[in-house]
Amino acid sequence: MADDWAGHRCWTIGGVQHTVFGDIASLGLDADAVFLAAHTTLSMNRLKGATQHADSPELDVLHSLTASIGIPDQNTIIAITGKSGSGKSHLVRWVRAHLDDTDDRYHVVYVPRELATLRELIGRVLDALPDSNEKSQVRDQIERAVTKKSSQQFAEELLDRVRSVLSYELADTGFGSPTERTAILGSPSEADSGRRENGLGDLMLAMPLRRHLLRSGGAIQRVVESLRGKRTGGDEELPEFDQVDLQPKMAGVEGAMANLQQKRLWNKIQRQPAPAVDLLNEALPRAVAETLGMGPEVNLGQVFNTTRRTLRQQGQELVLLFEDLALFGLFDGELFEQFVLQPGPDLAPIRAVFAITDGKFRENVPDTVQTRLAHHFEAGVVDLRDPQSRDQAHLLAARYLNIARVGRERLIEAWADATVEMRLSREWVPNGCWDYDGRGTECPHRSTCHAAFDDVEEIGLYPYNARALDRAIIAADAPLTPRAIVDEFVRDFLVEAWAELESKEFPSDDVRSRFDFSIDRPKGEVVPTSHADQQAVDRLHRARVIWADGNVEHPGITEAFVLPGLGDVEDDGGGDGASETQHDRATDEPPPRSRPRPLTPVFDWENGTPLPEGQARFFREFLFKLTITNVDFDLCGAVQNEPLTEAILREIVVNNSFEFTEADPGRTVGKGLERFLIAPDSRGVKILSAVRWFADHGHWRPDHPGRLWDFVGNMEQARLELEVFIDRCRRSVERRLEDIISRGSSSPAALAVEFRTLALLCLGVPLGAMAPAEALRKVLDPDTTALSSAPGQWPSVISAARRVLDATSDEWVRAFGTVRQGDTGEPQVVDSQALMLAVESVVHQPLAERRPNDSSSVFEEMNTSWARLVESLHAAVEAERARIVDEVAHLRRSIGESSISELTAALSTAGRLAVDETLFRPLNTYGEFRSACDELQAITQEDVNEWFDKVDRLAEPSEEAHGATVHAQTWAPHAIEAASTVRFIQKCLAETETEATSRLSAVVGDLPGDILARVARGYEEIADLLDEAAGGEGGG
Amino acid sequence: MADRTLAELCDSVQSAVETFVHRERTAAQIEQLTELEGRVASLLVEVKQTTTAISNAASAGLVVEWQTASALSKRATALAAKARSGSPEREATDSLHQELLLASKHTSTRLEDRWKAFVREQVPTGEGLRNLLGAFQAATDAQRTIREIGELLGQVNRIADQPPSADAATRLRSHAENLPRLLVSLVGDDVSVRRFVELVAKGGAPISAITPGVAAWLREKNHDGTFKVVPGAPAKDDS
Repeated sequence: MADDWAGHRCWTIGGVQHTVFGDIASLGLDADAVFLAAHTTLSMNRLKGATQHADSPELDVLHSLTASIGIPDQNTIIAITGKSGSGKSHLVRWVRAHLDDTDDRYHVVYVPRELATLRELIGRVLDALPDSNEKSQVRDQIERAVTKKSSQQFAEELLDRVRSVLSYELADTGFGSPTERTAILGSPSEADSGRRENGLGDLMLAMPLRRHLLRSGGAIQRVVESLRGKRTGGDEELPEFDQVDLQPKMAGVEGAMANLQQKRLWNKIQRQPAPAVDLLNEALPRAVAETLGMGPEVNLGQVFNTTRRTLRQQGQELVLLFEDLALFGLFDGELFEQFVLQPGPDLAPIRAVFAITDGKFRENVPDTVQTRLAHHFEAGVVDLRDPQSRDQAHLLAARYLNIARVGRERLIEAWADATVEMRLSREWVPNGCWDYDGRGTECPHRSTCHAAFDDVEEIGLYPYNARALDRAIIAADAPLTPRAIVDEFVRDFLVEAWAELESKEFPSDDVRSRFDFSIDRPKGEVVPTSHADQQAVDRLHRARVIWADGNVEHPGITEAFVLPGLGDVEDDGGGDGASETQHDRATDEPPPRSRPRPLTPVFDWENGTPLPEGQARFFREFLFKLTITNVDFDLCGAVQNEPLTEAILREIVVNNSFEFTEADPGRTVGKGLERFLIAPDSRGVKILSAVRWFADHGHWRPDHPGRLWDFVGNMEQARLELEVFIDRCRRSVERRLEDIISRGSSSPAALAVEFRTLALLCLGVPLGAMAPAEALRKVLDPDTTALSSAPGQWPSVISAARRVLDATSDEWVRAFGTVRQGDTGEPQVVDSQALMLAVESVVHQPLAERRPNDSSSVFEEMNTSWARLVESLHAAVEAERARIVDEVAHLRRSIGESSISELTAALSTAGRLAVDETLFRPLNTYGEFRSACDELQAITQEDVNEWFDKVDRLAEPSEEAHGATVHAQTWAPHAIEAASTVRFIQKCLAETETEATSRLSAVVGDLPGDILARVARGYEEIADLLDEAAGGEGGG
Repeated sequence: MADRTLAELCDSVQSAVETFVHRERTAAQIEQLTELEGRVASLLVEVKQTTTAISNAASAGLVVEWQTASALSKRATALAAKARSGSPEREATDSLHQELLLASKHTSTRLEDRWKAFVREQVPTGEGLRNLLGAFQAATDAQRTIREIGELLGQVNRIADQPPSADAATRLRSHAENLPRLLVSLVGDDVSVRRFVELVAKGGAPISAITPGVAAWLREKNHDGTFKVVPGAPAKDDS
């Protein structure tokens, strides 16, 4: 032990390793003194039997056992059940330690849990029993079975035994429903009445399943290893079959089954393996016994029988103590028979105390034993985190801290020297604080130590103190068991502290993780310093939070942990005296806790504890709102709260843009989004504190009588920090917003107007003929349902134009082309001048290139529709121009020099004449012909003249002509329709003419015209010949 | 269809319908037109024959003018237009027929005459040559040549009776080239003799053509009593 209080350590690593064991099984059998010295009263409920001693449960158990000694005609079976880790084994061992070994009224067989193998277990039992022929035979048989066969042979024999028990020995009745058992075990064979067929036993003949059952790590191998090799683990580690043994992840098992019945059973087991697994485990003990060579005459039951007879003759009783009866599961059948077999003239009584888990008690202990229990205790699992159990937790920790200081040898020596009375009173246990050297010398630091670090039963809690221990308890996982306190609070912690105290790094950040680190004030208030050594500040901060709840620590702690001094702040108050004063105040006058302390999560966060999810979400949401509220949308050219503005904002900043640490809840925002880091430092704490206050109060008055809670720290500084932070965030958001909105060849509103203008032009809306204001109104008119297109009017462009109109609602103008006025914040005044210019620019140059705004996905739909319109327009405009030119040219040729009225009159006459002579063709189209003539008549001469005039601008392909083609959509569809009408009329006339001449020809043969044509051709031919002859003149 | 205006189409339809309505009247019209068509066809054949002959003559190197062809062509064109317009002029047609037939006959005759004269120019078949051949009748060693020359003259006469053509012209040229060769074989290689004989064959040689060589040839061949001097212009000497 070091004499210096600075970095004091009153334990050694070796001492800890030899004395502090959370699992009783890890403690050597010779070290009762160690665990007894640290033993504390267990939580125990008596479920059956009369109380024998009310002082403590362990005395009650002990007296329940000893009180029965001497009662000749009945056994005394005491069961201690409970969950794993509840102290059952501990209690059995305590009972064994307090039994008087010199009492010749009984013979004790003690089976500890620490035994590593089943072989050792059996050996231990046999060793503890008096010698007999039966005992020798059993031992020899087991030795032969275990040592003279290979592991593989042993395993295969065991498997065959299991199969044999299933096929021959298990009855239809037992655990589970009889129908189900029979179905799985198989039906009796007709040839051999003792064997079952097509049951689980037969399935195990299939080689794939057999290989799987014999696999390494399977139940068979584990049993074999347990009988031959080492066994590790706790209460539930007795090898047994589980579902994995019957659900091999391999192909071919079903195919290896002998018949359809077996396949069906296999499939059934695959769907519901539990009943089959239960049957395997039911068969396992018999199979193990048989494999070990046990038989009717050679078995443990016979050994016990002989022992009881022998003891009866000697006037002794058999005391059996099992720390974990589940370990005996493969042999417990014989044991339970002995429990039930009551003593008599030839048989000594059995006094048994066994511990077993609740589950195993229900599964393994037969009803005949359960109903014969004299006492039944249930070890409760106490959660030492419960406030009412804190004292017990402190006491347990203190006692283990003590035995770590005292050491194993001194404890064993003291135990050996102690009388029975001393042992029961704990007087025998040395106290390291008062007798640190075994010669009665008080530790020289005891008074300082106990003042600074507290004590329990005069055992110092160093290097804990009560607060630190409480914080460790709070930080522990529930339920906090004694084993966890021993292993983690004492053993691990002392080992960790040993090195850190030596290197003056205690308490390190690793140590901190053992403790609850919540605190109700910022770090700067706990350690108010500008000390340059941040590591030192952090260490001091950890010490103050853990050992002093954030107050100035006791000077004894400062010295012991060699904590750094903070002269610049705390020394101004008077050095140690001031610290002491603060410590006293902190200790004696804790701050009133009547008001809520909502900043605690913030302070914890500063100290490394992640913000609770709800808190993180709250801060992010509020910071987001504060930032957005401060953004000057007008400056950015946008209107707040408009859906499109909001959509763009979501691509700039979201709640999660406000980031804390990686450990804090919330996902990191994606690429492109703003990120505003708030670090868990003084500044971050101020920001979040201010947010919390303002969110709860809406004002900045810390002394407001209606305040919900007291602000911790300097509110003005916090407010200023928050404002600076929000201003920075605001500016970032504004920059991004302005940048996004200012992209593109025009503002988003103007772009939308431009796009809509072109779309409307393509649809034939005569915007070019309208006054600017009227044109803008038309462009912004959301109702486009009245817009119709002529059949065949460049359909791809029409479709694209409509999509543009759908994608460019007036939302764009509301969001980016409107000025807010008045109190409502609603957009009210449209910036019409700029938008009229936008309309005008498109009317003037419909096909001029326009650069969309691609800086945000919000524009995507608008841009996509625009790109499609531009693409389809460019693809179609030349064809459309040519079409218009051709159609109008045809119209012009067809009309010739006639007026529309003259034409319609002539058409009417010709049609009438033809139809009267039944010559009108095509048949039954005279009505349509009339309609067409009416349509033609409806066209005014002015219209026609205008078309003929305007089409000239489209004559040759050029940029101007293409622009004119877009504008031509106001009239060209009508002209094209008129041309189409004319074509129909022409078709009717031509067919009618053909019909008339055909009919005439049928009557008169060649028609006069035909003959005249031939005559004319004859004359022409003569003329040609003569011309040729005349041309030859002058030659020769 | 596209070439006709709506108004034209209306007229056509109206006309076609009305024609159909009055189809009996149309039948009579057709009869007259059919007759006209036949006459035009025969006229065309006539003109085609004449112009073909003119063309063939030209290919034979003989140019014959049809002086009225141009004027007649214009009149035929006018008649064609009339026909196309549906109003053929019968009288004008008849007149043109007459004139064309006359012009055609006249041209044919002229062509025949010109051809015969042309043939005679190419190959002399007159009295001079006959006398020359007669002078050599007695010479037994010249019988074969004399026979060949007689056959040649017969072929030339047949060409003169055929219509002119490129083929006839070719054959004529061939005969024109063969005749001097036959005469050379008849009179030997002496140039003055050959010249003398050729002139005689053409119709008569001048006195000056009787060179000492000719005189010697005459004596040698015993032609002293075969040739005589007569007054008149001798044949033109082309050599």
